[in-house]
Amino acid sequence: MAAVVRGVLNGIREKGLSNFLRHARDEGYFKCLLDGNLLQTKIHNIGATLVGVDKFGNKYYEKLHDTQYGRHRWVEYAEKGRYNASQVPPEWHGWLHHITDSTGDKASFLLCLLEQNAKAYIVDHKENFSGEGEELIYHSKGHALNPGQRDWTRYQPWEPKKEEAT
Amino acid sequence: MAFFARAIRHSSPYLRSRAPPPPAVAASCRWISPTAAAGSPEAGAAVAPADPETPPPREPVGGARVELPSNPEDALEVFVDGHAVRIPKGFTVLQACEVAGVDIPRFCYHSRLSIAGNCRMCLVEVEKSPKPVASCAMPALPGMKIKTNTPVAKKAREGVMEFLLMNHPLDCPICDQGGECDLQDQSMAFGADRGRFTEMKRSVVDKNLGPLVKTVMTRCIQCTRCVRFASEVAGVQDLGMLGRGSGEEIGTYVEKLMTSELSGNVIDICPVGALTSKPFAFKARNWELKGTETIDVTDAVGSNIRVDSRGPEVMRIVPRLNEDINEEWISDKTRFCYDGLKRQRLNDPMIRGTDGRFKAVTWRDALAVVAEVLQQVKPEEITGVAGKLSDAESMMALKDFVNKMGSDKVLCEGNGPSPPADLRSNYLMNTSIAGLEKADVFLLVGTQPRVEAAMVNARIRKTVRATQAKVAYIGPPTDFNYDHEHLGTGPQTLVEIAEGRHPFCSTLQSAKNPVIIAGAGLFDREDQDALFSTIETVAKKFNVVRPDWNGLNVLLLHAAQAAALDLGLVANPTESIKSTKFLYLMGADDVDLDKVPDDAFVVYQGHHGDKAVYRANVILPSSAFSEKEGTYENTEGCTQWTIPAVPTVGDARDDWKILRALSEVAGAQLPYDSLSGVRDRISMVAPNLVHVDEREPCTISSEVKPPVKQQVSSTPFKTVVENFYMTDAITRASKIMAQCSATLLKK
Repeated sequence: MAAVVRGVLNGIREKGLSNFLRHARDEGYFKCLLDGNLLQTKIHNIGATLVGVDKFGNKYYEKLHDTQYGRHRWVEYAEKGRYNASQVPPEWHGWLHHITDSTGDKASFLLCLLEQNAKAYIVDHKENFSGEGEELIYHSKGHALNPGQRDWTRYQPWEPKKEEAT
Repeated sequence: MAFFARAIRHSSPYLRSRAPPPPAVAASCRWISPTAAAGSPEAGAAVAPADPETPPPREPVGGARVELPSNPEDALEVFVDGHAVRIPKGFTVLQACEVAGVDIPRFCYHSRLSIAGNCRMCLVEVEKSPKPVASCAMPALPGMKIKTNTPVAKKAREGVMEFLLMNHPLDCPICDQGGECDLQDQSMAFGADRGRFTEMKRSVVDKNLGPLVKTVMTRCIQCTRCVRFASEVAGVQDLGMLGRGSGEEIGTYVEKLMTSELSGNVIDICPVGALTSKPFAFKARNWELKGTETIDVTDAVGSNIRVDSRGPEVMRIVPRLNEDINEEWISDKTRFCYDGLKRQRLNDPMIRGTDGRFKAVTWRDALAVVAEVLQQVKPEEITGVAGKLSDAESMMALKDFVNKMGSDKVLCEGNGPSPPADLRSNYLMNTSIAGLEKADVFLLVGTQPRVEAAMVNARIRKTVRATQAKVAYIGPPTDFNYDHEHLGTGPQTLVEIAEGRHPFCSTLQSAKNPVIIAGAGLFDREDQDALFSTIETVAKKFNVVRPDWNGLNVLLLHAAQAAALDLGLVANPTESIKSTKFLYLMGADDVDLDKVPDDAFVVYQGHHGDKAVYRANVILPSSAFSEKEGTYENTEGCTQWTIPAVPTVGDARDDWKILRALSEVAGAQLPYDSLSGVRDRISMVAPNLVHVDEREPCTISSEVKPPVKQQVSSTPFKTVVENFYMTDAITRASKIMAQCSATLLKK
């Protein structure tokens, strides 16, 4: 806790209050208060290694000790409000999903070498905008954009209204 | 292993008394890796074998006791893996190995079905025999030297396994049997580590067996267990084997559903994933489930079941072995009623407002309203009715509460206008369910056991099949799955038998152990006293009740009935309900609500919004049998407990706790506030209800009954259970049961 307060004070001293607040807003610290997933990511980030940042600004973290194996790589999305998994570009997908150990930066570098020939057919990555809105995109249980899945009731109660209808 | 042993020790007292000691448990599970135990340090330390090659002798598989015949001529000695075991004559090699503690892998062999010997998995080596022998079909001979662990036997199993897996699809990851599959387990334990099969696997068209059993026939290994179960135990000739060679398949000959009330059991006996549960398909994996050993309450048999739950949800129900009650089968209603536990549940106390609409309120308000009305009515206008699914504790509390309020009008539905509660022998199955196997003549009076108590019917069928016992039936035309003689439809036939004028009398006369089973549907008839005295006359005439044999039985319909009669919930329903001003329905949905006066105040306490809630003024939600500890007495007088498997829904409470709380608010506090307190009270009224898992037979004979002046009426007997699949609040709420009644009931 003390370290967090010290970090905040240092930030204010370095940037000035208004700049610091803008920085905090851009980094999504205010959204943390409403979005538990983001807050959890932020808490995870403490003590983790920043492995790389992709061209969209998504940050990739890794923490090798003190973490359950298989949960040791994660991403903090650049988009703080409406983030979803399709915002991860293909060059980082393999690293993030433990398919490969080579990071997205390495993949991008190789892609750059190829690019002269590959430009003709490689298109830029775009996130998935399918459907009309967020409700059509998969959000995990407990996600801020998925309120419906917070219902843990496993039985269907008797509705007294039905009786009046008949 | 230690965990398993501990779990057994902590389970119910019944299990504790019969559970094998821990070493035997270890022996029973040893077959997964046959050599592990021999190599384990304890085994080596306990018995230092002279020859390191021979493993030490073992306990029988599953801790079973082997009863040798009293005459030593009828026992013989064989050698299994070098150890001598004594077995009765007529045992097979496989059974001899089980006595010696060696579990032989098998697919087609099932101890309750006939022997087919077609899977060849149980091959063992027998000395002086040129080839490995199929142990399940080979009778053991004196001095036989059986070897189960030799290279020949191992190679034989490996070869059989390779052939079985040849046409078995590799879909374990999407197979519902995965994790509890015999083929999976045995291929790990006995199979080869590679296959040589490179051709195409065969595929078989799936069959539609109805809404309960899902088929993936490509997975079938043709063990024919299901065919034998259907024709031997269930008594329907629906399944059979078609084709030869690789074209061989299990089917229903023509497109047809499996119309048996026991069809769910083929799911359990199928050693692979060919027959699985349709409602359970892809719902859960078996290792995610928590098993709770409890009993079933959908009929009066009290089948032993295991409720498998995941979190707050009952996922499935499977049978548990109890030789005295349900052996290892259960009826489809028992097995598939569980989705009713998740639908139409009452989860909040509700009060009907002045506009006729229900409003959810707190317990405090609901109880206050009920107590206020209770103060205003006269004591004799209070009536309490216990439902079909009530446990003994709540019925005790209801009776004590109503009595304390000054009324004696407390009854249990289904027990008729004058319940025969004076003598226990008048409402119990005195022969006991297992005892039916000794009978040689059955006389069924006004009962259709196939729909009223499917497990009792299975027992009768087993007896008929084994000993060619004769069955005679008096009642409306109905379905039987064994040979029977339909004597008549009304009480007149019974009177003829009692007077010795009926041709069936000669059969009864020559019977050694005759059995009369009267249905509980007779309780509802006006002339029930006369009927039962006629039945007793028949019993006396044909020597049905003797010191060594009691063949006079009543087959009850609901789980609550026997305990209600034990506890004395015996008011006359028609009179009590007609004059009542305050009606307390404890899960009673089948009372005649038209007779309830319009100005009566009705409290419905129960777990399902079924029929009676629509007449209720106050609804008090209670817990279902899967959520509470309750005592139930089955039709043969065996007391059993339910164990809570899942938490209660919403704001529901246990039945007896609601009554205890209400009694306090109403100013007539009941003198107990714990479950043990209620049970102490029960032990004063009916001590047999606290002796759990024991069948307490009736000791007083029925001869002390006063003479009956009533006349037998000539109205024919009625069908009591119209729809096997929907008999109570839980099964009526179930979607699966609704599907079954729509597709399987022939109209």
